[in-house]
Amino acid sequence: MLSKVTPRVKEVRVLDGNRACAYALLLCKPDLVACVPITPMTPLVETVWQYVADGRLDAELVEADGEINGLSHAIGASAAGGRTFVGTSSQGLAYMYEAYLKASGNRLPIVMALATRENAAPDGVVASHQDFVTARDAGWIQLVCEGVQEILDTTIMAYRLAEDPEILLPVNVCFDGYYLSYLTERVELPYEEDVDAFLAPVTSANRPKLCLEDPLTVPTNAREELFCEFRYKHSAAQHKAKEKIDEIDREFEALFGRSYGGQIEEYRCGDADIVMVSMGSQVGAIREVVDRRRQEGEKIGLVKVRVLRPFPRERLVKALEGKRAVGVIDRNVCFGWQSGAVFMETKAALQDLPTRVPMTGFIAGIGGCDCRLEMVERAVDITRLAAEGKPHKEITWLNLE
Amino acid sequence: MVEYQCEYEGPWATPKPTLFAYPTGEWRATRPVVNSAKCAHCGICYLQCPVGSIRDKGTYCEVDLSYCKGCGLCARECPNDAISMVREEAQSIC
Amino acid sequence: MAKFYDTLVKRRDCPPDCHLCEEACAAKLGSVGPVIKAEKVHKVPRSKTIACFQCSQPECMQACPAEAIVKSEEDGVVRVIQSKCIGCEACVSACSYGNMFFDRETRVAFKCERCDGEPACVKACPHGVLEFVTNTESIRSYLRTEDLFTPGVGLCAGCAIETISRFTGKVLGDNVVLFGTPGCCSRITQGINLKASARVPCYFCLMTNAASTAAGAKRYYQKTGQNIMVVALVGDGATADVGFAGLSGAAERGENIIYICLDNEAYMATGIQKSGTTPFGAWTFTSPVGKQRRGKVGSSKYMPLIMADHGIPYTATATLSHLEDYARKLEKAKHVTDGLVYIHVFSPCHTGWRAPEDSSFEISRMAVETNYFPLWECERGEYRLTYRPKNSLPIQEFTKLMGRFRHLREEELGQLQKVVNSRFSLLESLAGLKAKA
Repeated sequence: MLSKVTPRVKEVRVLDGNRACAYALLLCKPDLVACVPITPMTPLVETVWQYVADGRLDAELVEADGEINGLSHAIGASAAGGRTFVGTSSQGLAYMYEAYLKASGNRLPIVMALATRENAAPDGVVASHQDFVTARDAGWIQLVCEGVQEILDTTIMAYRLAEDPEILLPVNVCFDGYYLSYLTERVELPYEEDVDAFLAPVTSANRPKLCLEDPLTVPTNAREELFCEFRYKHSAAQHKAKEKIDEIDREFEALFGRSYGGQIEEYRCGDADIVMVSMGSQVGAIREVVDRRRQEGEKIGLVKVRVLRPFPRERLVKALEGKRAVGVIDRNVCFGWQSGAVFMETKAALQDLPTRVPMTGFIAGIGGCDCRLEMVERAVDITRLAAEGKPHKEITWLNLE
Repeated sequence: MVEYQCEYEGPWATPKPTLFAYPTGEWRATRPVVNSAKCAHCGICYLQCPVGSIRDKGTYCEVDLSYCKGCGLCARECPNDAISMVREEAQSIC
Repeated sequence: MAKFYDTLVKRRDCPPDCHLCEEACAAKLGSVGPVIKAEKVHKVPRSKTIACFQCSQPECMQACPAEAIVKSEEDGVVRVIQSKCIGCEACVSACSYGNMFFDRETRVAFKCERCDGEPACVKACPHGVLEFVTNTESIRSYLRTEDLFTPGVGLCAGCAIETISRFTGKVLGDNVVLFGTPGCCSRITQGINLKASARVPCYFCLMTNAASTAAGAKRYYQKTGQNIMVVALVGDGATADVGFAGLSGAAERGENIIYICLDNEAYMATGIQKSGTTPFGAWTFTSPVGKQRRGKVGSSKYMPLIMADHGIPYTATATLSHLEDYARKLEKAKHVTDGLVYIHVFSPCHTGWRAPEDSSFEISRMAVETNYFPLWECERGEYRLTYRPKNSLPIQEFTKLMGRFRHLREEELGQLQKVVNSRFSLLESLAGLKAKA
């Protein structure tokens, strides 16, 4: 536990998401950074490379020929005991998918930033959550950011989480391409010593690695029960990560003065009778609509999902118990359910409740469309219909209907 | 409550206390027999055995049958024909 | 421990009616006559000696009542001290192999004594049939350490990959981290359940990323001041096909790894399917032979030249029939610190190539002697042939050893011969061996 300190800010700057993430790397000091330029993440690469050229960051840089080879450099370095970072987006993530699976199965604490973007096809170099949502069951922890400050803070927290000896899982820091990667916001920059202190518990932590003193082989060809055991441990680590995320958020708040609520943020949910659920930058738009409606006397709240994997089941159930309706706005498509992924998973989680909570699902902001305030307003209205038991559509594609 | 076989979280394997080894000595259908008197200690079998089963006895070489797969390379490459391959007889497995 | 001794071995088939070796022996020994018979040399199989075995426990020496026969500890040769010979001929009867002779005139025994290290028969043979093998002790001196991995490896009996991997490990030493890929090479680096197969650290990669994973680890070791060799043992599938992009990128970025491709010219671990290095015409299950298809269509990727063309500090080819050549190349590889080392090792697969279990050395030898697999190196742009066959043999000498080429007709063999010739010609000109026009 960190001793009580007064949070302090080194300076305030206006940064976009890519540069905020890059600045976090200056503070976290990875040993190896492997990136391939890909829109909308490219400025992150360029910023980090310039840091190294200017002598501000001492990291091995890999301008990989392709994303799988970039991630593989990080895998090799991480297996050898190093701290690593990778940045990519949609097609890059798809190309590295084979190694992406290995990283989590081998329990290597790599941190990867995803400036989220649509998967081709159709080809659209535009924002959405489709890339990391498609990859959600590869075993990585997936944290999702709402704003640029959160990107910087979450990257720092990602290393604290990934390298924790009880977790040892790779972490995705997902932030919306374009909306967060390119647009700027006010960012408070922490002191390097404070980040060093925050990461100290994991920076010197021991984990198995490729070294001559204790020559191990990884991964082994595990069969039958042993294979099951590794999957079981992996699953158990994902479960442990939930509480760990909350714990790390509290530690972060104590040292830096900023909290994001851990796995979820409950915004004005206490006496709300309908709650909107979402993740990513559109949470900002929903927040605004919630405030407007509250001013008009409507009892409405918002749950911001900050982590898709592991899914914050327990906290969601607690937050949504007794609500009259829940509306989920997804910036992705889950083909099996003809809805969004967060809708589907929230619906599954709410099975735990003794009383059924009516749910409405919305798909908005995919393919480069905005998730506009009037769309959120419509979503709230439809959810209100559900709360009142009136006929309504279960799933609405807000940009089309 | 699941009882773990492995001390590690991830799929790490250790060479201690012993390395994994297939019982390749049980695979062979023929085994090499060395006529050590004829051996000229040229070292060809020693360098060429895939399994590393040839032991240098000083003035001649011998085969350690523990892992020998009976490939016959030693017999074929021995310039002196000091090694011959004989059939393994069937053995009951107790 | 006694050192390994030289030995006299037949490597090729004799042309008919040639007696040059016997004549040279007779000329060397004088009137007593030769100790080798051309008839016997013609009959003896390849890899066998053509003269006295120089036994470790010579029957002749044991039978001699006059202690006139001695085996030298220095060179292992069994010699007759003619001044002590009493002419009893006991040694002649004692030798079961007919390698002891008797001069009726001078009444002394005589035998092959290897012409004191320069056998006349070998010198006299213009056809490259005979080889005086003198380097086994020298090869042994390259071995730095014990085996890096388990004696019980799940590879076919007689597998060249096993031989080469063990040799490689012993020459490189144990200050190494190994990177392997799925394929036959996996048997060495991959652990099974809780147990590792190697006594050095190993990372088992994907087929697509051996070079880059190895490079990532090496970067970390370099950054943290750890002087550890990083070696990738990879098959031809992961090198020439699915992992090529990563290898090419690693070469271009100057990643300091030793990348050894063990080329058995197909995807063998999945049961013999064609790869980018499968030669023209070869049978595999995905380049089958039948009415409509006749083995591999098109030529193969010649990886060593492709890699040398990346401008890396050191590229080399090697094979198991020329272990000293390979050991020298590994020593050079160890000393490169500023870029990628690529060594392409020809690893005959008797299972996939349809050859007997004990044939991998003979196949390698013939691959080199027919110029199918030339031995060369490129050191910072300077090409060099490290071995040139004395009279290269036609490609049939190589293809006849394996079933995978059995279906090839004259003209198809001719096509393969053309590929081999033009490749060797290119290497010769790169090595500056062709006369300028």
